[in-house]
Amino acid sequence: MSQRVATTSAAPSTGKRTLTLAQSQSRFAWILLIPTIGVVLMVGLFPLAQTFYFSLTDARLASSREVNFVGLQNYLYLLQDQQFFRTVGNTVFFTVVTVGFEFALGLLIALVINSNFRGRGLMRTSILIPWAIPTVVSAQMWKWMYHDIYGVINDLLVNQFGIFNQNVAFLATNTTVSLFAIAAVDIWKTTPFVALLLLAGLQVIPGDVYEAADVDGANKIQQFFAITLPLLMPAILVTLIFRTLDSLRVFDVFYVMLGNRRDTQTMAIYAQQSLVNFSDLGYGSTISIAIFLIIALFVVIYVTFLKIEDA
Amino acid sequence: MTQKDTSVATYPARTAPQERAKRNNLPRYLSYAGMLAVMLVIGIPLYWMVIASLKTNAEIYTIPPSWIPLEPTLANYPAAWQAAPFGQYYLNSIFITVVGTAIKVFFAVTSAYALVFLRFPGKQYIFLILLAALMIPPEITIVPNYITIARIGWVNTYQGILVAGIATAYGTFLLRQYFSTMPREIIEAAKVDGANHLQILVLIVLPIAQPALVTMALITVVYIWNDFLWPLIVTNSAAMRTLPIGIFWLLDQEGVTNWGVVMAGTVFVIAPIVLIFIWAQKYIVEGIAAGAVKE
Repeated sequence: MSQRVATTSAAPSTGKRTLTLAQSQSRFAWILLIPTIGVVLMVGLFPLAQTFYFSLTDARLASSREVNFVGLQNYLYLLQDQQFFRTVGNTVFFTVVTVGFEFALGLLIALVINSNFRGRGLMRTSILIPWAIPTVVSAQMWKWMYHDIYGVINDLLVNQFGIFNQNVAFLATNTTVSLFAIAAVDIWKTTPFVALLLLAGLQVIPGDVYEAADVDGANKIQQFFAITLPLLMPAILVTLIFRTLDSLRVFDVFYVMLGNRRDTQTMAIYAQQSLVNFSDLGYGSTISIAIFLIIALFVVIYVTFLKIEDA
Repeated sequence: MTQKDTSVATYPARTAPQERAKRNNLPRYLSYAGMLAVMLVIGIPLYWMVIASLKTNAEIYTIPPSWIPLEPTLANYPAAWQAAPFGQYYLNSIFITVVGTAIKVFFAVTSAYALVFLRFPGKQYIFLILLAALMIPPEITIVPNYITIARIGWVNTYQGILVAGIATAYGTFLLRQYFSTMPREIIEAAKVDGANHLQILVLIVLPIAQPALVTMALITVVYIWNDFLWPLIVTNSAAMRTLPIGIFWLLDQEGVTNWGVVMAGTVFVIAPIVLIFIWAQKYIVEGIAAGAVKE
């Protein structure tokens, strides 16, 4: 009898306790998250909503003319805008080339730096320097190094190594050559960043997993595919998303090196040009929203194929 | 849970790669060769930039270019220092970077902890909001943010420069990904031992995540230190401006760029960052990370 009373009285009290535990955990989570969410809403999502509103109007920058609501007119125009599709092509091409090379090289560098060898501290430090130089400076610097007359790259290729027999105008002639030349600058600057992110991912992998694999007689390559790669996945995903987002939004390196050149224009430069040079707030906003949607498409692809929600 | 346990647990992490490397030397030599190639590709442009700061302007524009300065000069350094109020810019950049990094790391750690280790309704939506915030092109945010900042009277203030950091979402996302690889057993064990969230975060999660934490802090430092467009827009006096703006002035002064002076200015800007790299890199690879699960 007394035993039964004890069990029945215990049951609701534990039920109540787990409920309050869950509630307090949830409240604590919100306390931790609210500052971040607040800033993100204010400086990120609020401007996005505003831009979407402008994309439905014929608003002009710094104009007192009345703003008219034009519905989807800007979007219909966008779908017929050849120059917009050219900028999409350029930007996606640039993104595939840079992210591909940066990921492959960055992973190799991270794996090597992660192993133990003399001088790796120096290596790790010096390898990061290109990434530390402000883009405005490094892009100008490369523009000068690419110069067809007194550029140092032509000096290397023609005079020092004799690979070409005449100077190449990397940034002046052909669209593809110019795009590759700029991709090379981005790869030079950003591979260290990729290596850094992946190195951190490698360092977080527990070492005893490898010990167990060593005991089981797994060789290096088996270990890489069976252990390193799966455990590195969250870091790989972060790296790919960061790099893809930045490449799709690329602005400064193109702007410094090629200005508003039409055939090599990127999406972000076209949006900026519509907004600032043509003062077309409505259409500039439409392009910006399109960039956002294209980026979202890439993120959805990554998330679907690399399973981001596992945490 | 004591200090001793964690320090003992570090041994497998440090010795294991050494033993593995000893066994087979070929990959090691290949690594050295590859590294050498990478160093050259990275190093030649850097060498070129640094020696440009030691050349006279006339020599910079010679054809063909000279690989060793013919008349090395240090004159570009004082010239760069005097071309813009670099002393004030240094103070501003240091202040903004230190405060901004501290704030961003703090909020990224707390929000990533909530997203990975706490259960609460609506979690996946919060994560989607952060992901969406990452995808917003900067040209969308700059004008509306300037209007907001102007409305609350923060133009030309430190808080005005600092607040526009959607990089907070970067940090949260980054740390969330690294936290999520962490072995759950340790956290569960600590909970059973009666550890509260603060203890779990400070004594377990942060030490294990040290490489990721230092990496995130480094990225934030470089990002704030080099940020150019936003500080330029939101400040209007030399007293509030930062180093990248000073460099931009050097680039923009005359029709013909005086590369020697610009490169000297660039050395001013990146020297502190290089010192931070030298100091920080060992915390990325020598955390207590690897062997922590061993109990």
